[in-house]
Amino acid sequence: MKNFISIIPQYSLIRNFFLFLLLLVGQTVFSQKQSAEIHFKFLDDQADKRVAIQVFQQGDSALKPVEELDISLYVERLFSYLPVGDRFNTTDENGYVEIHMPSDLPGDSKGNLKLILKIEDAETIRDTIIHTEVKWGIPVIYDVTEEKRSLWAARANAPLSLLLLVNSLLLGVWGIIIYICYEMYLIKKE
Amino acid sequence: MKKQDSNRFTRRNLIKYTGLLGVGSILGLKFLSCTSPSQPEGKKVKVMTPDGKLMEVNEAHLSMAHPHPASIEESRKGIPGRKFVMVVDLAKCKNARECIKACEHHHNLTPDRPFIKVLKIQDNPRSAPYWMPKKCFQCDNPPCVKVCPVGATFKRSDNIVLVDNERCIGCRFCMAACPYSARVFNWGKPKQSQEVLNLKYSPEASTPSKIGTVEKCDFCPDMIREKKLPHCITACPNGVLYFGDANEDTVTNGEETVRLSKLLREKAGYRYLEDLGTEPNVYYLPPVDRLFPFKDTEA
Amino acid sequence: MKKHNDQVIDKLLSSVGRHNPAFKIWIIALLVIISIGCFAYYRQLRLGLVVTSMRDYTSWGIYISNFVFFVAVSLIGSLVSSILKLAKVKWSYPLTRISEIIAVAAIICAAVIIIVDMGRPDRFFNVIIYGRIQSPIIWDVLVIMTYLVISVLLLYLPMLPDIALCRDRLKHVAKWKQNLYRILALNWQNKPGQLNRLKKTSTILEIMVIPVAFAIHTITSWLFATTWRPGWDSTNLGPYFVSGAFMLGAAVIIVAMFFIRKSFKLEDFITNDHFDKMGKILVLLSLVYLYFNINEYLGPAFKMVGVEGEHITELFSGDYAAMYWLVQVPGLMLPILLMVFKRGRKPFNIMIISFFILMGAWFKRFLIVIPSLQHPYLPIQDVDESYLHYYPSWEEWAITFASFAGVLLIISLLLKLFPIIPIQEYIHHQDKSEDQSNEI
Repeated sequence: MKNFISIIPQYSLIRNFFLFLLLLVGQTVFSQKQSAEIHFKFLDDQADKRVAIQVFQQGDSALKPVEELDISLYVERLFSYLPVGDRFNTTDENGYVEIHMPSDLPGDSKGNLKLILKIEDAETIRDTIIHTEVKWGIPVIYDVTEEKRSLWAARANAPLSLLLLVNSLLLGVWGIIIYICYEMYLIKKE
Repeated sequence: MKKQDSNRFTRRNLIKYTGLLGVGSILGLKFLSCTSPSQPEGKKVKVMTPDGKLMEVNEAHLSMAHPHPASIEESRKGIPGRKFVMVVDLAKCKNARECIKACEHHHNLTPDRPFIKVLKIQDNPRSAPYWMPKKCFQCDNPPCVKVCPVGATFKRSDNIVLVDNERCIGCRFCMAACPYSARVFNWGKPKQSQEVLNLKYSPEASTPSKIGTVEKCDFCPDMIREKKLPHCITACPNGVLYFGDANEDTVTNGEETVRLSKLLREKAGYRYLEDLGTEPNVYYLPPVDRLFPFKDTEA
Repeated sequence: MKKHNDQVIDKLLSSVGRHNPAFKIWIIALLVIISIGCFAYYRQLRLGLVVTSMRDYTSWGIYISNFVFFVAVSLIGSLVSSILKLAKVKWSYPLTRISEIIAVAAIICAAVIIIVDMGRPDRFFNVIIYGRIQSPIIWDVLVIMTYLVISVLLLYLPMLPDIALCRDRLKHVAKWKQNLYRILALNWQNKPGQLNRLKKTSTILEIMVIPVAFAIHTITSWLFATTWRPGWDSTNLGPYFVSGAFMLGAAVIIVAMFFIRKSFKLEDFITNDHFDKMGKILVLLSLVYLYFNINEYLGPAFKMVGVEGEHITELFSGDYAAMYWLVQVPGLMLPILLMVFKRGRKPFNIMIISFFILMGAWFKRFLIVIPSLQHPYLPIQDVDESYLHYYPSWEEWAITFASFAGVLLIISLLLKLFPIIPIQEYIHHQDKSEDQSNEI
């Protein structure tokens, strides 16, 4: 495929052909894939936090559990999704899997974590994404008035001791200078 | 010396090109491509990812490099609640120099004033040399900010140290103070196209450059504001550079997302010249179990 | 008695305002040098600091070392007109005005040269608008302004009676000069009240100038000591700079004494004895500076820590070795040795020796600023050849020479405008010593 694309002059032709192919394949695949019914709940036994997931699929008559299905769990982060749990979290014969969550993940200011549950590239189930939220994170509280007085702060936040020192020195020296200028004025007036 | 080939493109093409590449590479990630249903509908555009996949994307994603530059006041505050950090895995760097190129390109720099350097370091005569990508360490106790007489360089609440080149007086005290030689100066009139000069200046974009002022690596806050990774991170072909928010305890190199604390703990992360007390926000992972043998490539 | 005084006054006033073709040529020569410097600066304004040889690693060059040099020179004002006076040294009063004039000239040029070093001189007022009190540069700006004002006052106030003399006796000079004297004399009539106030204010100034003078050079040293650079990262830097400044100041005043005495024919007032005594002071100050020099280099040279060690090696035996040893031997150690002998303190000899000290002091400041910058913690790699070394460009030299010419110009004009030797004080001292001899 890579080879095809590298032939630049015929690029658009190849692209169209490729898209057409993709469409064909996609339709046949999609026709076999179905939506799944996913149950999940959050289990919290103090130290151990787990997301319990059970996946069912519409069988011939009733719902039947989906076995050997890989489910990924992520925590949404600023730039990307942080995977949690084991490398593979595979459902058992009851379509059930428990994914362990670390208990020391920082969340938002309330401790909420945005979770993303994903089923991808499954044989019979359509790619599925579930967004949810759980209060399992450590609340990260940041001080809004964060600028403290320091040498590297803006000038409004200069250390008080420095301000005091510099200003008293300046006041002292310039006070004397002004006094001398006043004396000069008196000399002139005499 | 290698001539910079970016001159051959027009600014417009460049922006488009960067946009396509950037989005392409992000969409190349397995995870992100799945979020597209939640994005607003729009005109679809076809994009080729760097690894040769063709895909359809919403045109709204193909944003310009600097769509809405933050105002100078806004730039001084920082993004609330964030603490940005970078982790450099020295075991993976083979001096591909793609970070330098991407940075140069994005910030409209000429090769004589790079924000990033890849240094050949040999800790002692018996140990093997290694490549060390070095940018601004965005210190928590920043020597440059301490000495600036006018507050032209400042520390934001999100760890980033920026330069306001509309206030800088060009005294170069910050350059003398920086123990990591992270800063560059516009000794002469910077070579920039008219289109670059017409851009609205923002300290978050560090462009256009101005004569007689200091510049440095800025962690690309203009990208971060759009929830995109800095250019050097996405440009690195070897996944050397990780970036993220320490408040989230997460860093990513664009492909792999890991917990910062775990990464630093397991790989014995360190900060360069820790004993200077500058408290950098760039961590290094030691060059052990290297992916590449050291080859002394010419720059 | 009175007649003798009149003669002295006339003689000392004679240098003021008298036409002298040699002086005119001297001024024109200085102006030519300054205008070359101005042209170089014009180029720098137009093209940027790229006309200098400074680059990203050597980001400070001879502008800064020259600035440090002038700040050092300006310290003599406090040495002669204050420390010696407060120590009740009698012989030094004919030198007070010369030293104050040099101090004022040097501090003005130091302020100018620091603006020349700025990448954006057009934004100078940002320093005032946005000044951050945390920055040592702001401390330096504040202390330079303060010291300039105090130096001007210290020059001006004790000169009031002499300006009054100029106002009363110089009727042949140009109208603007007469007006100037009239205004500057502040209605001085030698009234007892005026004398009292003058004495009081002069004493206050003389005391106050000492801590400010120490501050100006110590803070200048902090511009370096507050960074992590090898060679600068030293707790010794403040006293090291101050002692170097006093040595340089004494050398400058000896050179100035020699030429001023010759060109204004002041042999009666600035005697060989003055050179001898200034020489002794210079020996003492040089020894103090030598002591701090040893302190500054011995520790790092013994330990040879990382880049600090590289820096020391570079100075002792590397690229800067020739300059370093020229500064240390003919610029410091040999002069001490020669000045210990009486012949070494003869006017001409000590002038030559002082000149060597002066040159040594200038290059010493070069050695303090530049090699440190060339030894950062991280290796200098991947840079253009021009980044690796620093040879000042012609523009930098032209501006540096122009700053020297500027100092000399200000000194020359002030010497021409006001009596060089404090007349009132001279008469006062003369009367006193006569009284004493009469009593015996």
